[in-house]
Amino acid sequence: MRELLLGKNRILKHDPVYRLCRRGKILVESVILYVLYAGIYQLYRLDTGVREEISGWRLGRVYGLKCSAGGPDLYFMKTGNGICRINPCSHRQADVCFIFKSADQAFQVVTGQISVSDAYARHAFALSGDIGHAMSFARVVDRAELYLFPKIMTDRILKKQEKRQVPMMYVYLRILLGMFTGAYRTVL
Amino acid sequence: MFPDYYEFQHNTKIVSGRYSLENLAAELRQLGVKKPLLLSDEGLVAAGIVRQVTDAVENNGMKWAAVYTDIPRDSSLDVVNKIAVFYHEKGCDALVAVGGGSVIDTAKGAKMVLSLNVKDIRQLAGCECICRGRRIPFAAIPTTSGTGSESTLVAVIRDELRRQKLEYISYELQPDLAVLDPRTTITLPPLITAATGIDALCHAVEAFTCMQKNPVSDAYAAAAMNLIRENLIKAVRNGSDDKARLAMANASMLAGAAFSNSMVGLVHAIGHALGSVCMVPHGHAMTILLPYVMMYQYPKLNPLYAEMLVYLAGPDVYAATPEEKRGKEAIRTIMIMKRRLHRICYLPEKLREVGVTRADFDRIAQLAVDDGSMIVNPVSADKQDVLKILEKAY
Repeated sequence: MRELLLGKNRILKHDPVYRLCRRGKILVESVILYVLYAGIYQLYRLDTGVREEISGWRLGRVYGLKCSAGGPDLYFMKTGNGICRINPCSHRQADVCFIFKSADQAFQVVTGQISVSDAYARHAFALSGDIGHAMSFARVVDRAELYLFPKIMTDRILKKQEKRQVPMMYVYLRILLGMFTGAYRTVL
Repeated sequence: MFPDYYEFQHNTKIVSGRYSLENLAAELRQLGVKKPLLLSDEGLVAAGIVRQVTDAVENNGMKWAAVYTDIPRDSSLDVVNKIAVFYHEKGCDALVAVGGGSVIDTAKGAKMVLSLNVKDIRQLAGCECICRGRRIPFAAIPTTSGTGSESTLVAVIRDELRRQKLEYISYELQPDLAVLDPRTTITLPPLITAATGIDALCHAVEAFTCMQKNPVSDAYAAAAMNLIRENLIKAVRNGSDDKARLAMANASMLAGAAFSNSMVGLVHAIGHALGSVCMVPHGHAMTILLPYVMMYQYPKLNPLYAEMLVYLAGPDVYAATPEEKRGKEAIRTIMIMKRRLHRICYLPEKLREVGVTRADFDRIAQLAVDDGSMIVNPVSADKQDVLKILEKAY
């Protein structure tokens, strides 16, 4: 349809529809990364699995998730009582960082079309840092997706179907509350 | 099922067969090499393998710039840095690694330091985050038929300071050249031949069943399984069977190329943990664990195991086995192979035979779930699942 309207030989980067879609994806990624962070922040307090994983992290370890070069990113650090969001420009390199190769592949993961494992299988991201620590981070993200995505999506993307310890709506309410209290602001 | 998306790369030129060592000098010249550095270990010096390689190259018109044989059993960052310094001191222009997985991984580490000119390769640890740097020609001559390091994109190097093993995964780590000559494995004792052969089989089986599998890696894995089926027992029974040795060297290389492009899974995750906690040799761990992990994964992977039966047991057995029983028959074939190898050369069958105790299980299971191999394992396994597998394998 787009080819019909705009002609087959239009250069993609000048294509307004393509640019709009790309900007839309980047915006969606920014929002979802924010919600993902908020979800992990709250689930540290609500879900024993997430708490157990994060408690095993070394204090001060920095984790990062970057949706392609120039795309939105999320960096947070393990603290004494959970995690806190940090500004990558003011902080040293992340100890563990997932760097997606393209905004499109990052979009597939953050919107629950494919899991982190599927993304790895498709070479969708580079991973810097200790792979063992990255595995723990991947498990936390999987667990967060269990609560943030509806069952119809998690049945498709998660290898193991676990039971939620608290209802999904309760997690979203806590996320909203945290937004109003400024729990997810960048600290460092 | 055809994957939505996959990537496959195998950069390594394979030179396989009789007199392939003698062709090494010509191959190095083609790579523009004039002053190669040979890396190996003292064990291979004593076995005469290093001498065979140095003579083969010198008799064909090339001189070695230097030889470094002080590589320990477990590759470490200190050794990698020492080699990089030695390389510059001697004015070398290429690396030639002669040895098993440890020597070849050390060479890969040295290549990283030299090509990217980094002082600390800890910052390069990870997956697909190593860029191409300065060209350092790199040839690998494996002396075991198991790890497949001569064709893999993985290097595992120990950080002595932090007492941990760091994994490096990048296509830039694959050697330019792999030389497969039966003479380099002819002195391998039957037990090591058997253990490394099962390691290669494990690579092929996991490559065939992992989430990252693709049609090209499947072809490599299937070829590896065929060669192992036909040659492993022969090579163990008669170590001087040239053809069997060469076939096993090729099987190991093919399996290495397969898993480089489709990764490994739960067997390796637990195997790595056993190696870290209880110092169980890798080949022994693979032998013991493979059938138990296959039984754990059977409910989900039955169709793939059924498909593998033709490569594991041959077309006659495949045709004679009813379709619904092929998956179980594939597992049974592996158990029979394991049992035969145990009778021939006492290859261990259970964890307690290799010194593992139940007290170690908890630590092993925790390390196993944190292993990078778990991420593309097709069946989810948490700590409790790993503990059950360990108990069954005990």
